This record gives sequence, structure tokens and C-alpha cells, in this order.
Amino acid sequence: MNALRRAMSLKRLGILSWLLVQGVLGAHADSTPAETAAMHYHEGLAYERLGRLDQAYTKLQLACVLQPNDAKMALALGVLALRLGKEEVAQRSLENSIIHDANSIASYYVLAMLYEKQKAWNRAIDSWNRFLELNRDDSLKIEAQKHLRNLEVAIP
Amino acid sequence: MRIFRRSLSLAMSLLMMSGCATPPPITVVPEKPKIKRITVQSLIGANKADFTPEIIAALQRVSVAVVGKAEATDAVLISEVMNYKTGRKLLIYLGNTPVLSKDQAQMLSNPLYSSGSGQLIPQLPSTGGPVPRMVTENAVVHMRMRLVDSTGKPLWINEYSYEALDIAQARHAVIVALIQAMKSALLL
Repeated sequence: MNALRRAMSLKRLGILSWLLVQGVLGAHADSTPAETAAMHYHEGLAYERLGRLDQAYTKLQLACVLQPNDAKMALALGVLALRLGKEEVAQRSLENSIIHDANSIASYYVLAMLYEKQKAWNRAIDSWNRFLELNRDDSLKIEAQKHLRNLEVAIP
Repeated sequence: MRIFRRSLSLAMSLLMMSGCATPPPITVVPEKPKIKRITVQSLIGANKADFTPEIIAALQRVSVAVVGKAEATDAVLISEVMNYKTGRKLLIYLGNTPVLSKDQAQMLSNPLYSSGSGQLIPQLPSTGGPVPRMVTENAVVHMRMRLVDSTGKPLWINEYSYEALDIAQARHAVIVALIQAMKSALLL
């Protein structure tokens, strides 16, 4: 009896997953690249909130391929790539983000940190300065000023 | 006789002038302790074992001899770890987000917020849906260093914190900054 119930529930689950896959594929087939990119982007953010970073990374990569000029998608991919230790992807995405949105505050912050790690002192200073111009958070302002002071000493 | 009177009055006036003039100020130069040999005491706080070699290396870079506890020393360096965290989280609001400041509403592009700073609050969109956001993480190290002489008298104290993508980078920045500050304060 239990085996029968389990089989039934598995069958139901199978049908549900099939319907879900068909729904997603169908939706993707009918939508424009921009809409599909937006869908991948939001799925990526949802996975990120669930802590499923690898799946989030795949989704955000798809979104960025479909919408290479979208600054917020590039920022999201850059931040996630950095958390996964993929520094090259992170740098490329974050730089792409500020190319398409010169006021992206978070991109400047994360890039400044990344440049410091790479010992690219001058780039780090430029990013911190731009961040200071745009930022409105008091404690982050103090942090940026401290980093700038530290970098002035660090430059050989 | 007239010449004698004149020279006498001149001498008297010179004596009076020198007596009335204010004495030159005496500048008291504080005595800098002569520190050439420092003993590094083991750390209080997290990851004790990882810190000591890095502190010793930083001291040696500023030409200070580091000696063991048994040897004669000029001062003892005591370090304390106040914060040592890898997962410091910051919230990134994606897209152009309207935020409320004290006096006016502003539009910010991808604003970033530290936890605990509540001055600016991102508004929810009129649809009622959540504002798309992400979390960025970095490491933070906060340390305090004290230098005391052999009698326990404090010679110097300072503290510093730094944020970086990884904990080793943050720790290195803190140690180098504190040793440099100690060097310039005590003219080592």
C-alpha cells in the first residue's frame, strides 16, 4: 500500500516537473531575448537568496549573455562571481557594469576592494574616490576615507 | 668726567633693559624612549597562532630587533584582536532605487548599505514587490596594540580596523598600519 502511494506521489511529482519544465521552455520560446534575460536574472537572484550560488551563477551568466549592455545584471554577476572566487569574471562584469552605468555605487565599492587585492593601487584609489562622490551611507563613507588614507601609504 | 657719566648711564640703562626683558621660552622636549629590542607577546583573541609571525616580520621591516622573552628587552608588544570576521555582509540594491534621506527623496543607482546604518531607507516599489537586491561579503579585522616597558608602564597604544576581500589581506593591512603608526609615534 505504501509502495503504491509512493509510486503515485512520484508519478505526480514527475508530471509536475514535466509541466514546470514545459512552462519555462514555452515561456522562453515565446519571449524576446530581453524578457528571457530578465527571467534568468530574477531566477538567479532567487537562487542567490536561497544560498544556491552555483545555480545563481549559471542563471546570471545566461542573463548577461542575452543582455550584455545591462549594468545591473553585470553587477549581480560580478558580485556573485567574487563570492565564488572567480576574480577574472568578477572584474570583467563589474567593469562592464560601470561602462553602462557610471553611477553604479556598489560596482565602484566592490571593484575598489578587488583592485586592492590585486595591488592595483591607482585603480583602487580612483574607484574609492568615485564611490565617495556617489555614496550616501555614513559608515561606508568613513570606510572609503580610511581605505584612501591607507592606499596613500601603500603606494611605493 | 662727562664721558664717565655718559658711559655709566649707558651701562645702567643696558642693565635695566636686560632685567626687564622677558626670558626666552624654555622648550621642553619630551624624552623619547629608546627602543631597539622588542618582545612580542602572544595574542589575546582569535587565531593566535597565525598572527605572531606576521607581527614579527612587520617589526623587522622597520628595523626593530625582536627578542625572546628570556633575553633583555626594551619593551613588550601586546596585541589584542577585537574583531576577526570573514562574512561581513553588505546589501546591494539593484537598479535605480528611490531612497528616503532626511530631507528629500533621491534616486540612487545600485546603492550599497552597511548593516546598522539606518539613515537612508530604500523604498519598496509601488507594486509592493520586493526591491531586487544582493549580498556582497568581505572580511574585517580589528586589532589593538600596546607597547609597555619592562616595568609595565605604557609607552604607546593604538587600534585599527580594515576591510578586505579576504581575511589575510585585512589582517596584513592592520598589522602594517599599526606597526607604522608605532614607528612614527616613538621614532623607532
